[in-house]
Amino acid sequence: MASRARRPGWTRDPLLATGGAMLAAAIVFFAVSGWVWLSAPRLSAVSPVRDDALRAGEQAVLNFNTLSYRRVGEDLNLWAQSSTGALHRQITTGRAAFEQQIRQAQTVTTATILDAALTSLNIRAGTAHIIVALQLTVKPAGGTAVTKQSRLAGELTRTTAGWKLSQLGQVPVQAAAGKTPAG
Amino acid sequence: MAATAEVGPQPRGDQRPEADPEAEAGQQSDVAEPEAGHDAADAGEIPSRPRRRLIAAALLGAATVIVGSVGVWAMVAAHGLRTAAADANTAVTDRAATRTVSRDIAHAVNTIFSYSYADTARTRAAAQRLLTGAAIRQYNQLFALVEQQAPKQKLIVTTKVTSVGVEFLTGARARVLVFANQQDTRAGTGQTSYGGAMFAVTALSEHGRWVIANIDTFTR
Repeated sequence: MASRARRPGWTRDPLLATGGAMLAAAIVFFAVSGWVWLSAPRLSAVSPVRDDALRAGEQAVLNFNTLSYRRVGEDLNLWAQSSTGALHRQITTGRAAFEQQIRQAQTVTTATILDAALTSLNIRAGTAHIIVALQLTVKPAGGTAVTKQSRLAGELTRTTAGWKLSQLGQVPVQAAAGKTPAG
Repeated sequence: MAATAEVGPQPRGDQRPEADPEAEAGQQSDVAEPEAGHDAADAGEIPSRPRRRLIAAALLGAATVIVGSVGVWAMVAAHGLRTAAADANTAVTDRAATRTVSRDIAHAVNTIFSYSYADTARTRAAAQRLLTGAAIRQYNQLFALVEQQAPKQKLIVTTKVTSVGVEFLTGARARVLVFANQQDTRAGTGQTSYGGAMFAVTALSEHGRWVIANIDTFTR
């Protein structure tokens, strides 16, 4: 009753009327700005995962293309650390024979990543695909180093110890039957 | 000593009478009034009305400042979010945009590097629409050789992009790594050879379509 009786006084009072109008305007502004804030684009939570996978993939591919007969053991340990799944099994099973081969051939292989990109990323499945443009330098025993470019495609799998390569191979040049001039 | 002792309590004495009606006014408006409207009107209205008016105005002002400040903060924060998002790399994370860039660039590469000795002009013409900036000059230089050689060798080249990886993507700019296979057929001899290529493309979105602005073949 009392508040109802006072209402006209409120609205008749220029000070309170102005104050009320300003508050009303502020509330409208608040609502609009709140909506603008809510609808503003948020940075994707996927971005750091993508960057992480790409970085790990580049490093793993680099590891897999670095091999010196002088330190086969250490280099192959890195291969094992950079891989998981099928690729990892491949390395561990054929390791002894491969080590022997490299020691006999006395080759030194080094690589530079020219460029790399993810072609897919499935966070829920914990898999990603990567393509890498690589420059390889192979120096045979006593011979001169040969530099060539290589196109690689790999599959990354997320493990508890980060992203690791589960597949890696050269991208084939169309039909295997044809001649393959340097591309 | 005596003076300070007297002065000390005095301000407190002044404040008290002021503070009391304030407390009363507050209580009256919140609790006491609905219970005893008459009492409040008789006892409190005349001295407390201007004060209550000021308090109400102050409250309105404070609420306006608070609500307005939050609004201003939201506007500033939204602006920050928008600029951050505009600069952010959305390659792979923005699936639709990534797919569009990949598709447009694969199509562009297939078109500009596929030609027949019988009609090189057609490829050159199509390429002008798929290239922009420095890439036009790069391409025309390269294609001048093709126009010279292709008819002599009766060359038909078909390029097919096999892999596309978007490394970087913001709004209207992207960097894309491309693997492509080329099949060269000499119509005269029927000889066919295959080759693989890899290069990175700087792509720009122009008129709703991604075009090639630069081709990096990693020859350093």
